[in-house]
Formats: sequence, C-alpha cells, structure tokens
Amino acid sequence: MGDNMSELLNVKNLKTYFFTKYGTVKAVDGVSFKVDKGETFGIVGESGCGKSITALSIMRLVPDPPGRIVGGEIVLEGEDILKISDNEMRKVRGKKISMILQDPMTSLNPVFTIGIQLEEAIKIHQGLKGRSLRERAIELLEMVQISSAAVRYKNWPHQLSGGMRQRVIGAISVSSEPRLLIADEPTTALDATIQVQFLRLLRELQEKTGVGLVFITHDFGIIARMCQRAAVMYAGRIVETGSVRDLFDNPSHPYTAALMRSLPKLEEKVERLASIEGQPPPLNDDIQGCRFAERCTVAEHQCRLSYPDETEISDGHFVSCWKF
Amino acid sequence: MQRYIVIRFIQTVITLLILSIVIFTLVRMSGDPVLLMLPETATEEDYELMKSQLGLNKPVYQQYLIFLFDAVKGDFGKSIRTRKPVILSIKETLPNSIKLVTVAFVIGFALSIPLGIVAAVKKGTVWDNMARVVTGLGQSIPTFWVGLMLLQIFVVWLRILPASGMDTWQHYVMPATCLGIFLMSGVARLLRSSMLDVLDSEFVKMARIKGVRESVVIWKHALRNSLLSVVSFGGMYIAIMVTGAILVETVFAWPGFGRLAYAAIVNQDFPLIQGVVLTAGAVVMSANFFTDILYAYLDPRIRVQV
Repeated sequence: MGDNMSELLNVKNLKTYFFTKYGTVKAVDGVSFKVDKGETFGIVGESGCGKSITALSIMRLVPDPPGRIVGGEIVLEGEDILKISDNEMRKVRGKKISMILQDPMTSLNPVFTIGIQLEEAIKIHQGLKGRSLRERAIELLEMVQISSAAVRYKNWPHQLSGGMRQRVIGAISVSSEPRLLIADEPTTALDATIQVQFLRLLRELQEKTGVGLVFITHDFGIIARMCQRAAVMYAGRIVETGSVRDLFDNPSHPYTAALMRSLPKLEEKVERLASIEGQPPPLNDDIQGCRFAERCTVAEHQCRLSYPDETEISDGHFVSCWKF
Repeated sequence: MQRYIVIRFIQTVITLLILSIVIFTLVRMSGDPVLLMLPETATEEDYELMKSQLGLNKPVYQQYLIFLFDAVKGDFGKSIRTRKPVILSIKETLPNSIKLVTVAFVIGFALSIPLGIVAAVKKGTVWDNMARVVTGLGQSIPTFWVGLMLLQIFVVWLRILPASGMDTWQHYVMPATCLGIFLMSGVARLLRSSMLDVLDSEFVKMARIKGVRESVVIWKHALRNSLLSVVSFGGMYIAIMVTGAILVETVFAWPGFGRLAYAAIVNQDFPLIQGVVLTAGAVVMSANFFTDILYAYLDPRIRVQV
C-alpha cells in the first residue's frame, strides 16, 4: 500500500497500433512501466522503437487515423486516463501531464509572441486574467532563466535562440505545475553546451515542483545523468527495466548488453566501436517470438517461438528474455 | 514595419515604371496610329502634319517621357473611336468593377475558408471528397459558361433575377457568384493543403499538449498560419479577378472596367488599351502592395527582415 501512495503513473500493457494500407504497424506492443512521484524515469531506445509513440499515447495525442490505442491502461494518480472522455482528457493535458517536444525551432507558433503562448496555457488551467496573468507569465520566464523576461515576453519565437525557445517551452510545460512531465528528446536539437544547461534547468524545475519526469532519449549519457530508473525499448517492447545502476553495471538483456558494448569508453582506445549486426524488424510483421532474436548472438529455438515473460532478476530489475 | 512598407512602396513604383515601358513599346510595335486615324484619302502632307501634331516626330525617349508625365497626371489621351478622354471612361467604369469584385471576394472567402478547413480537418472523409469535387468543378468550368448557365436558370426559367445592369442588389447575385465561385475554388484548395501541413506541425501538437480546445487549435493556431500562404497569393487573385471580370462583365452587360477593356481590344482603340492596361497594372500592383503589408502583419518574421 505504501508503494501505491508514491506511484504517479502506471502504464500497463499499452498497445498502440497504426492501421495503414500496408498493414497494421504495432508501434507500441505491450509496454508496461511505473513512474513514482518526483522520480525521473528514462526510456531509451533507437529511432523507431516506439518511445515517442509511447509518450504521445500517454498524452492521448496519437494521430487518429491512422493510429489508435488498442489496449492497456494508463493509470495516472489512480485514474485510468484511457477511460475518461476527450473533454476530460483535454483538461488533464497541460494541467496534470505536460510534454516537451524534440525540436524547439518548430514547437512554438511563429505568429504569436511567446507571452501570448505562455499565457494561453495559464489561462486555460488557472483562469488568471489581466495583470496577474501577465505577472505569472513573466515569473515563469524568470524561473526558466530567461534574462530580462519582461522584454522577452513580447518577443516572437524567431527572435529567440534554440536554447531559449526550449526554455520557453519548458516554462509553458510547467506553467500549471503538472504532476507528470514527459520530455521527448528535449535536447537532441540543441548544441552540446546548451544541452547541459537545459538538463540542469529541468532538474531544478523538478526539484522546485516535484514533478515526475519521463525522459525519452537515445543517449545513455543523458540517462545516466538524469534518471533514477530507466527502461530499454526495442521494436515496440520494453526489454529491460531497472535502476540506472542495474542497467549500466549489470545489463542483462542481450540487446542492452550489446548497446553498452557499443558505447565509447574514455579509458579504452579502439579503432571501431562495437555494433549490433542487422536491423530492427519491420513492425508490421507478425512476430511471435522475441523481436531481437534475429540479431541476438545467444538466441535459441525457443526465442523465435514465443515472447518471453518479464522476469525479476533482482529487486526492481526486470528482463524479458528466455535466458532468465 | 515602416521601413518594410517604404521599401515595398518603392518596389511597386519601379514595377509600374517597367510596366509603362512595356506598354509604350508594345503599342508602338503594333502598328502606326497615324495611319489608323487618317482617312483613306489623306495625303503625305496630312500624314506628316498629324504626326507632328501628335508629337510622334519627336525622339522616342521624349515621346515616352511625355506619355509618362501625362499618365501620371491621369491623361491617357482620347479614345480613337468615341473621342472621349480615356480617363473619363476609366473613372466611370472602374468603381463599378470594384463594387462587383468586392462582393465576389466576400462571397469567395466566406465560402472558401470554412470549406478549406472542413476539407483539411475531415481529411479523407466524405466531406473532404465533396469539397474536392466542388472546388475541382469550380476551377475547371469556365467562368463565362457558369455565367451562361446562371442566366439560363435564373433569368430564362425561373425569371427571378435581372439579366443585366447594376441597379439593385439582385443585379449583383449572378456576376458576383460567378466570380466568387472561381475564387472560392482556388482559395479553398490552397487553404486545405496549407492547413494540412500546419495541422501536422509541432506547434499545433504543442497547443494540444497545453490543453487548448480543438476549435481554438484550428481557428487560432492553425488558421492564422495557413492563411499566410493564401494571403501570399492575394495579388494573384486580383489579377485573376481582372481577367475574370472581362468575361463576367461581358456576359452580364455589367458597366464595368472589364467590359471597357473588352471593347477597347475589340475596337483596336490604342489610347484606351494603354489606359486600361496601365490602370489594371496599377490596380494589381497596389493589391500586391497591400497584400504584402497584410502578410507582414500576419507573419512577424517578415516584419523584421528586409
């Protein structure tokens, strides 16, 4: 019971499929994970593994058609948000769950000032008006370390740098003090130095507001820096979940282990980084077995027949592999 | 913004100057006006006399400058056929056309904006397909044919609308619809495709993430951005309308600028053609000028550049 009190988000067996001319693409196929209050949970995986669709599914913003959430539960603070009406969900968005998108250059509307775009979010969920609305907007800009916020408030997006825009988006996202913030590769489009700044800012925002953070990335370095726990996704499934320490020190799924081997290490000088042979399977194939089997060096007959259940190999460290 | 307006204004003036040179040259290449004006029996002396009276014996650049300064003063000469000053004919007919085109614009945009939005938002549904059929027909059926059909239905069969003239609002219905349909089809198609792009954009996703109501997402966030591409074609619509007006005004005997242009061309009335083309050019140029200002107003990115 004590465990439940700290639980913020519980995604159970989430399935999001895309129904296209070329067949059904199972972009997310039975994903489960939990996020505690105030925790930072990472989802790591290569492009196309379904991590962004997982995020959009939690927001219930999967483009429909062609996409649809076909199964599972998304329990936010005890309530399954897949069961509520569209209108109720709209009130959850921005207020309880918010999201930061990957590309700050396109995430702000070019024809409105950042002040207007920030105020819009505050107005919807907090009903502030006039002077107090403006003050709150400027306060938020200061919180994300925009200098001379009162002037910047009147700027259009194109007058701001990429890093600044991403901070404005950060301000919009936390404007109504959401319980859960999903950051979908928020630093991928930023310069390395700006990345570090933005990550630090996210951590500060989290400390101030106690928001639970789902951090989606393909960068293990960011996972190590930001997260307490993380999940590794492959071809629409989570293959391994655990504390960041578990994942780095004891990567147990062959895919995780292979990824770890392919990371460059400071202390070793190698000619060529290790790579994983082959490509991820197309997601519209009906694969019965483990999706990594074709590329796995230790796969056996069993691996191709059916998908392995999740096994807890140590406290809170789960692996979906027939080897365990 | 002021700087932008000044620069665009200078550009407009330069374009008009170029247009005046083109017209001046074309008219002089298309035949000898003196021969056209003189009776068959005229002698060599008569010819020379008239040439010097008209100033055609002066060097070409001087002729052009005289033409230009007269044009600036609004003097385009007299019609060869009616001897009436060209500027008077333009003054009588242009306001009538502006009235007609304004009504057509209102009809066109009132129909095309909802049509374009519905087609984009309900992409791939019956609504989208219906919009596609309607706009496809609107673009492909010639305007004069639509006019003739309207005449057949509302004048000949139903007898509820007047066939020609412009005295009451009923007179506006058919010609304005005719022009409006053509405009509507183009705008609706353009709006649909730009709306689809915008609805797919990250900032629309961001607006939804904020919890913005879907209607506000469409009418505020998406429409204003989609209108940018529509507005950028604004000058072109005016040009299309000028050509459209020639056909529609002729079909409905509308006492407008388009019919004046038609008469000028049919009668080979060179001073009238010069005046009409230059005026039409000026109308299209100023429409472009205002379009660009509107565009800059809608898109802050334009304002700071240049």
